[in-house]
Amino acid sequence: MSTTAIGLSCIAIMLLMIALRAPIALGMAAMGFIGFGWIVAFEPAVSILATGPFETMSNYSFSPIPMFILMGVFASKAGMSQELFTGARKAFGAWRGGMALAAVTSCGIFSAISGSSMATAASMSRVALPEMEKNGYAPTLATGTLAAGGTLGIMIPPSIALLLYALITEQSVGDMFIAGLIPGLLGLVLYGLTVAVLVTVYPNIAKPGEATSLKEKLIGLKGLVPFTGVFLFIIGGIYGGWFTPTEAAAVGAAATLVIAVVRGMRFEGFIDAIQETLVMSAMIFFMIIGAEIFGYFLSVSRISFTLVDWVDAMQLSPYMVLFCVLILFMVLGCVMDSIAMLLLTVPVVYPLIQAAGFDPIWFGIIAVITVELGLITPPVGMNVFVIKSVAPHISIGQMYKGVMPFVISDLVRLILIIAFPMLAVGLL
Amino acid sequence: ADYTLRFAHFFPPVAGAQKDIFEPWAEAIETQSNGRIKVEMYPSSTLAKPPALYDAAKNRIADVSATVQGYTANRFPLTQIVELPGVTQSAAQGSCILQSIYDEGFLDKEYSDTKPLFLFTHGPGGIHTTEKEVTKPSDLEGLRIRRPTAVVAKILEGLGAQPVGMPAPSAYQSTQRGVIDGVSLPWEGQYTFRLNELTPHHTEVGGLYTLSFIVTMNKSFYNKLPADLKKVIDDNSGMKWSEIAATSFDRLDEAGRKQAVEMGHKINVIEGGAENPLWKPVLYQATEDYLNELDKKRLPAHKVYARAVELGQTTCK
Amino acid sequence: MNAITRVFGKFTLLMHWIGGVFLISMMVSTLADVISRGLFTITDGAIDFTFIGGVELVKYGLLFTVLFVLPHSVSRSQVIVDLFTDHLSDRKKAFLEGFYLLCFAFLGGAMAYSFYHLVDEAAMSYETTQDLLIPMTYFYGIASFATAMLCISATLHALELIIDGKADA
Ligand code: NA
Ligand code: NA
Repeated sequence: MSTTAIGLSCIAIMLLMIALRAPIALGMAAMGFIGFGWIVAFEPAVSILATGPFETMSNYSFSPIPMFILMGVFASKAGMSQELFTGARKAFGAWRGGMALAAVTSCGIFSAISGSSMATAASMSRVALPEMEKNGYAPTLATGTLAAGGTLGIMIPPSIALLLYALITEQSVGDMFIAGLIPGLLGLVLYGLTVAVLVTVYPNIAKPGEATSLKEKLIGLKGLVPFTGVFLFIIGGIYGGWFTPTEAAAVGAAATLVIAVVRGMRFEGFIDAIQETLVMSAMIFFMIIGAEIFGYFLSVSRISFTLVDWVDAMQLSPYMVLFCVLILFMVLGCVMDSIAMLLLTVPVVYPLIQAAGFDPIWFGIIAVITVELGLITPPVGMNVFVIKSVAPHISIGQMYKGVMPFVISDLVRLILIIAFPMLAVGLL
Repeated sequence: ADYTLRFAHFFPPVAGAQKDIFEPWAEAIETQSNGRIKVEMYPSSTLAKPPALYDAAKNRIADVSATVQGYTANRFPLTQIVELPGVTQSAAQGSCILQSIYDEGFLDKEYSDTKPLFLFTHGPGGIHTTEKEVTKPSDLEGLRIRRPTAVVAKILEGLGAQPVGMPAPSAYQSTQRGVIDGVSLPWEGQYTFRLNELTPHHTEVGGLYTLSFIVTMNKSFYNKLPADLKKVIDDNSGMKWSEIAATSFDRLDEAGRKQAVEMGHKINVIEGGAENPLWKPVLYQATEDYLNELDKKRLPAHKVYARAVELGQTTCK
Repeated sequence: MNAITRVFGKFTLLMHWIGGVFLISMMVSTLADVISRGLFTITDGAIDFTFIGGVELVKYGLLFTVLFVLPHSVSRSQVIVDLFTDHLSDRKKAFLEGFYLLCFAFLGGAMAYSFYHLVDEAAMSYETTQDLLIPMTYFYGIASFATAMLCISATLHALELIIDGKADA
């Protein structure tokens, strides 16, 4: 068998395993090991099982991942998400659908200190979902808003997905984060517009809130204070040269811990926070380790090179290549987790994108938006699952129905950023 | 092809090392074996991270790897003697000394687990700073300076600086963010990793330090080759390729220095280099400490050092 | 059998919390590094608590955090796609899960074996870390231990699932 044939069969078997309920991390690790052994030899394959994971687990660049999660969890324990939502609710006052707008806005602001979509969706839905239900919002709108809003966590910096993309493609993490800012805010605005359109077309899915005075609105703004504080502290620290972007995650986690303790988080809450962080980190690191082992196999299979040659032979235009890659991402995104997808696909398609002459940072933003779409598309949308765990009484079907308008909004954003690359790379 | 040879290293595919050294080596192997050996290149650490590259060749994850010995601390202590102050003034001289010491058998024990093809060094390492000009050791007091290996860390510590270990590709961002106040790099590194953009002050201390590199092959890969192909590998090992590598690094040193001059930067040249009375005592002390430490471990450090110095004054002048 | 699983479960849970301690240690050592550096800059070098090896402490803090969390998490923190197998009976699902845990056990065992070899090799070559010059044997030794625990933990859970057909641990 040729190396390419071995490579393709191992990838096919891995996808089959994943379809048959294999943990994604296992699928990658097992087929990476077998594929490498098949192409090279099994003795070195056993040694990559140690050296690969060791390099990954002791990679300083990965250290922000648990810290970004910790930061979000502490913020949640500090009641910062509750305060944020209450404040935003007051700000939108008597508007119809104001609470949904408040939820989207709160998700966006919460994203500024949370690096993970699932953490953002979990924290905000715990706070906002019961209130929206109590106030007569349709479950479709309530859950759709929160599932979509959660995806802002992955685009508005800090972001684990942007960090991983930068590491895989050797781009600057700082540049990646800056490039994510405007697309993230754009996402926020478009989600807001989506809510506005929805409540205008279907007025019965949301009720107007209580009117609030200007004074109440201003008082509500104090929910922003801790977020703005932590955010400015981090940005200021990085640009003032006090700490590096990598260190910023730990400093931010510590700052949020201080806020949480000042606001009455006790030992029990602290332990809860650690536990939540460990569980989520374990999930991510299992996949990173699997992807690392799979990566060795991908390298020696030279699939990426073969792919570039094929595309060359077909003489596709650069935008055609981009289109195919994005379609692949969307199809995979339907059934795969976003982090796993980035880890799996970026090493393969990145050479194609480079060969087509696209800006790697711009492509990173596009890739992350597309991958992020997978978080809310059926049948496997991790964010929807997170919300399901908060509201078991609402059916998954209703949730997916509620999320659809936001999928369209994301597609609009994707087209805007493809058409106007300045939106992503303009700030660099 | 009868044999596929996987060649792994950490340089970017556009770097001088890839274009001037590794690719021509691969071509030589492919041509001289009449295409029976095919070389597959794995640049940019795609097959193993820098600290794992040597082991990659040992464990046959790669068949050949090129790496910096110092990235695995303490593992090649005698090799790293060539990195000490005053031993060499250029990549040509350093490479000649290192390859000769290896050829004379001094380093055999350190490389018993792979088949080394050729060894070389980069040119003289200098100090490049963002704000503070460095003309004497005391100027380094409290400055955070990036360094490549533990041996260079000792030298910088001796000079009063705070050495920060990181691989060369990370130096740019750390300097930009103000995490470090400068770097120790040869001009080649200033050029390849764009550090000239960030460090307008340069200090040349002739013979301050160098860095050793190795291109090495998996033993069983070599042993399994038939005699005529072994000969092809042997013909492309040793001093010949060490010289080709050195030529590339010396040429890039010139390019890097020229770039700094064109940018209007200040270059402080320390008169006499490592022999300058202000610098010599510190550097001499760092060298002595290093050698004594190895002697304590019953390694023939002083002997190797003496031979290195001797070679620098004779064969490798 | 169940008693062994329970006792071992307690042990991996303990390891899990040790992982939690390392998580906090990562945060604390980064803070110490940042603060000591800040003081040094503000006071122009008068107050110097700066130390070498901050990056290394975080690096190996992450290593131990992840290593110690793995055995407890292998059967819990996994991302699974259940699109095509949702209709399967619980018994079959448990069997599949058990089978995959056995695969994890195999990989964990191979990792432990491989790390064990690295301990020997590092001992012979005297390799140390870059900044703090800690012998690499310690890190490989602990990695070998943790991955061996991963192997045992996965095996026990797998047997439980395959024999008892218990759906969730
Ligand atoms: Na975020
Ligand atoms: Na999906």
